[in-house]
Amino acid sequence: MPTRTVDNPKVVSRELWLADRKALLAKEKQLTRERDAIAAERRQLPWVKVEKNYEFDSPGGSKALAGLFDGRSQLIIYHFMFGPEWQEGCPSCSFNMDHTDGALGASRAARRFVCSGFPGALGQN
Amino acid sequence: MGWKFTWVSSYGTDFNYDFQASFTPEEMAKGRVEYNFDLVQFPSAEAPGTSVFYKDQDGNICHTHSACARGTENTVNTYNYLDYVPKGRDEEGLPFTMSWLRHHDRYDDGYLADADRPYWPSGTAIRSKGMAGEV
Repeated sequence: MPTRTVDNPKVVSRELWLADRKALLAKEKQLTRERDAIAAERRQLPWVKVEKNYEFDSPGGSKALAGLFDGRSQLIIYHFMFGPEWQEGCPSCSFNMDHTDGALGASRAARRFVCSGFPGALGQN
Repeated sequence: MGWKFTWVSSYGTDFNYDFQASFTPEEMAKGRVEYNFDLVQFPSAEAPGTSVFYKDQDGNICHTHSACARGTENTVNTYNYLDYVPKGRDEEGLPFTMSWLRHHDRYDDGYLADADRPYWPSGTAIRSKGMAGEV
């Protein structure tokens, strides 16, 4: 598959464009249905009971894993690359997190936390 | 960074190790670590991942899902936009796919994707081609 279309674009009539666009649309629809099916399969994966008592440092002090749910039943934790000896957090993780604040509106469904191994990360917001 | 979500630190706990987002020096010394449900070479002692938990009304907690490596891309909507445009993600030829990224307050200080700048501290990682995108 060519990766740099801009170097050698194929410019055609609207009619020809539409034919190719419709062919691609059929594949896009297939992908959408497959994504739905895989998401359903993901929800049906078995669960594993958490037996350890993990204690996290949080801005409000020490919190157990159970405390992170904050009244909700579902919890999403992003493992942010920020090791104890690191001077700053990973730029790619930061890029991912730039998208997370916008998703906080969905927090009625799940509580979201970002977790790192670096105690100093607590002051990074 | 101006983010509103809540940070917690797992420092001093097994949490990140148990969910394959951090690797011990012993694991790193072996050259291969357990990541993305496989034994792989990984350039850093820290790895990206998303883990999901469910707590029932009796307080029992279960781990239900984890996504690693490119599995974490699902929450990066910028990639969906880039996948619409002719140049796409334009990451060919970079030392690893996300090497063009910067902290969001550093895009205006003049540098573009400088291929030689690793973002993990020296001494904690082995430089190699392929980061999350290839493992």
